Amino acid sequence: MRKILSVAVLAVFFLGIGCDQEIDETLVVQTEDLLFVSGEQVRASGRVISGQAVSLADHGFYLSEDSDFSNPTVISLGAKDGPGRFIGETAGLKSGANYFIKSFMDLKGEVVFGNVVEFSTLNADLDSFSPDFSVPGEELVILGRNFTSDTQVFFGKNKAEVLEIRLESLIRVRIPTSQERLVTIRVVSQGNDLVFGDQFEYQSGSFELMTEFPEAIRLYENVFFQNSEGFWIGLGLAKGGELISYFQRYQPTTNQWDRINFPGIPRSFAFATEHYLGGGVIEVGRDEFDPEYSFYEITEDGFQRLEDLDFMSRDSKAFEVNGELYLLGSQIGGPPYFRKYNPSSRTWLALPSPPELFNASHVHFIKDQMVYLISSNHALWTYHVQSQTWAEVGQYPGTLGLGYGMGQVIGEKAYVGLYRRSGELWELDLGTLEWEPKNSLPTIPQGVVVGHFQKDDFLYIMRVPDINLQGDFPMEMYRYDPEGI
Amino acid sequence: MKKLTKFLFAFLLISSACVDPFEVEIPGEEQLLTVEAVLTSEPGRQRVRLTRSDRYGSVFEGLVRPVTGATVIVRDDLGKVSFLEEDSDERGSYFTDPSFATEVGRSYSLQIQTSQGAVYSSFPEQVNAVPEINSVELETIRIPAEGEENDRSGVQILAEISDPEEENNFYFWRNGPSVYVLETRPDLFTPRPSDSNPSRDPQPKECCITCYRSEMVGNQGIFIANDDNFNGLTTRIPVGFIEDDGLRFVNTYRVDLRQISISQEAYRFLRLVKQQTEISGSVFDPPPANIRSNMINLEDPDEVVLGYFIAGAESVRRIYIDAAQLDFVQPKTIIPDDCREVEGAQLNPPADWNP
Repeated sequence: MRKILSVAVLAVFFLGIGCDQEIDETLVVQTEDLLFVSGEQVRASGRVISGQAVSLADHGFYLSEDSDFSNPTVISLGAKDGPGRFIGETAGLKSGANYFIKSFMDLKGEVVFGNVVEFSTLNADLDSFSPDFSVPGEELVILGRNFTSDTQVFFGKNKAEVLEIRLESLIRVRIPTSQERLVTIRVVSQGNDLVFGDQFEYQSGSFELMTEFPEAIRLYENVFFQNSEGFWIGLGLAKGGELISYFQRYQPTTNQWDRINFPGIPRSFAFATEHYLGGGVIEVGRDEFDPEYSFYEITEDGFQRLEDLDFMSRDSKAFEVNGELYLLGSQIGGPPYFRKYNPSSRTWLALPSPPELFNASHVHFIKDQMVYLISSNHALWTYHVQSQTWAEVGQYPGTLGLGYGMGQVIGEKAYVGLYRRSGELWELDLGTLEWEPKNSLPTIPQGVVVGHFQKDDFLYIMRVPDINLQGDFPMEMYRYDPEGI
Repeated sequence: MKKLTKFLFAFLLISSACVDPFEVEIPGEEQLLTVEAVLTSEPGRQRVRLTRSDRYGSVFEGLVRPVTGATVIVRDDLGKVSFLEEDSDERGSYFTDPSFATEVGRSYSLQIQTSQGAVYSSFPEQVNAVPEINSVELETIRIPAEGEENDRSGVQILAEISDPEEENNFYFWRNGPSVYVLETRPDLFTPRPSDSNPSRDPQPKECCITCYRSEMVGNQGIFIANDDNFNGLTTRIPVGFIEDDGLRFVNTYRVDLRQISISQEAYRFLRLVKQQTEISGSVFDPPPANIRSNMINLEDPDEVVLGYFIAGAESVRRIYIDAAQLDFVQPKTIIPDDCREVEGAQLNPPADWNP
């Protein structure tokens, strides 16, 4: 019996041992790799490793500038049940500074720390900005890295409104106004100044109202030209349909207007250059016109009548090169013509037809021996007067409105635009043939240019509201500074 | 007796009322975010592909869907951010700028913000230098195919590399784009009968027999290695396999062999994927396991994300394989048509074709 009892006790003892379960009491917290470090932010990953259920009063990270964590910033993520990974992040760090971070878990009174990871916050830097040419009020994007939330952007001395700092690497700003055309963009991030090497260019071009036409009329289908005596605007039709028989001459140096009578027949749709005037029509009924063939040379003594034209010219494009007059146009319903007037022989020479139809509604400008014309399909054509060759060299990027725009040259730049019912103005670099937009005319866009002139480094533009626009609008003369802001 | 019958009837009713239907609650499967990204030091439009995984079960349960409209960036340890743009034709694929290339010594992390607002980030991936491929050897491999008259076959590529001694290296090989001389038989062309051409007679075409066909064929298998056994030594390793489909090795085949240095963690991930994909059903197979990604949801770190973001350096070796180099080739596949009709084929060789 005793033996049986001993064996039974031993068996129970062994069974008891066999039923013991070994409990994994591992409970550690680990600081993993940093997920993200920028100029002022850090995002860290930690992990609670445990083989059993665990309940933490708090967990997160300690962050400090010294390895002793004497004055730590605590990133508290609150209570946690069970093991696993956790992510903590904080902002407001100093850029370019050294920091230490360690994970922690609060076991309801006992705080256990993980390994310490040392890191440095990053410094801000610049990559690029775009666009490099624009106007105040538009948006500009700066690309770079580690921009802090207090980042400020300056265009020269003017502070820009920061619209967004995205992922610390992209800043959207609104371009501020400026008094200079070229400015340096400066980015200030936590007190550090960063400057782009390339400058930002403001779209330029300023208009200054100089004077008004000395009479309360609105003039259309007129002619204009300039010579040493001033800017001439005249003939054509007044808004009421009355033909104008004189010129008003403006002298920009004295800001004076003088009325000069024209000795010939008043007309509209005539042509005029510095030295010649002629052609045109007289409206005798609704859409019925009588052509006018008289032709004049403009001299210091006034208008000297020459032999009449032997062809009809209505709305012809006229320009002078080397003292010779060229006329481009077409008869109504007829083929295009291209004629040159020889002042010595006083004869007209027919030139080969142009590649496209050109007339007074098409813009032209002249640089050296080259005549530039913009066709109805935006093509930029050149005509070389010596070789009599045409070439298509580019495209005008702006709107053509209803035709009859302006073309002028100052130095190596041409200025094109201000077509009827359009305020757009573009600058063409005659060396590279690249276009750049200029500031628009700050008046109603439904205008018509009735005269444009060039003197020194300025353009003078007389514009009148479209004939269909009702109201009491004066004819205004603007001085345009291409470099003005 | 009557009382007993009533009692039994009542007991029966009570018993049947006590039957509770047992409902098995299966946790709902989610369509998991899957990230596929291998960014290297070879400049180009490099791709990060984001999809949502399919659910297990019926084909109607779900589909692998692209994750569209996400904001995807790659950021290096200096804070330089590259924005990726989603391809309008290939939804869910986000491409870097064409000038993007990783730099040796830098580490990179991938950040994704989905259109639903969830933000995922990878752990940083360190880019280590990668040696050049010294030379390449080819071996013809024959694989017995059950029930088939002919064995399957292909070309195994063996690369000789000189492993740097001073660091622990991990390698990953992929095949780049390939081009091969495609030969067809336009003289055997027989059009499919149609209303306009009901004839079933051969209508030989005069052109063209020989074209150059481009294709993108991935490696058949995962080719990875670590240098535990050859640290600092020159060694020969299998780095790729291209199956012979009866067209590729008729004349000349060209492939760009990409050797990529990867991190230890990426190597571990790929090794586990390789093990899982090579499970054959034997008792010696490793048990199926959930392979951890290096992508985590910042709001919910316990969310399971599939795939891996790999950043590494790359060296490329272009190899031309001539049919004469091979011990065995598959019988030539006959395409009875103009070679230009084959997808990816063109008449002229690529500008850099130089066998």
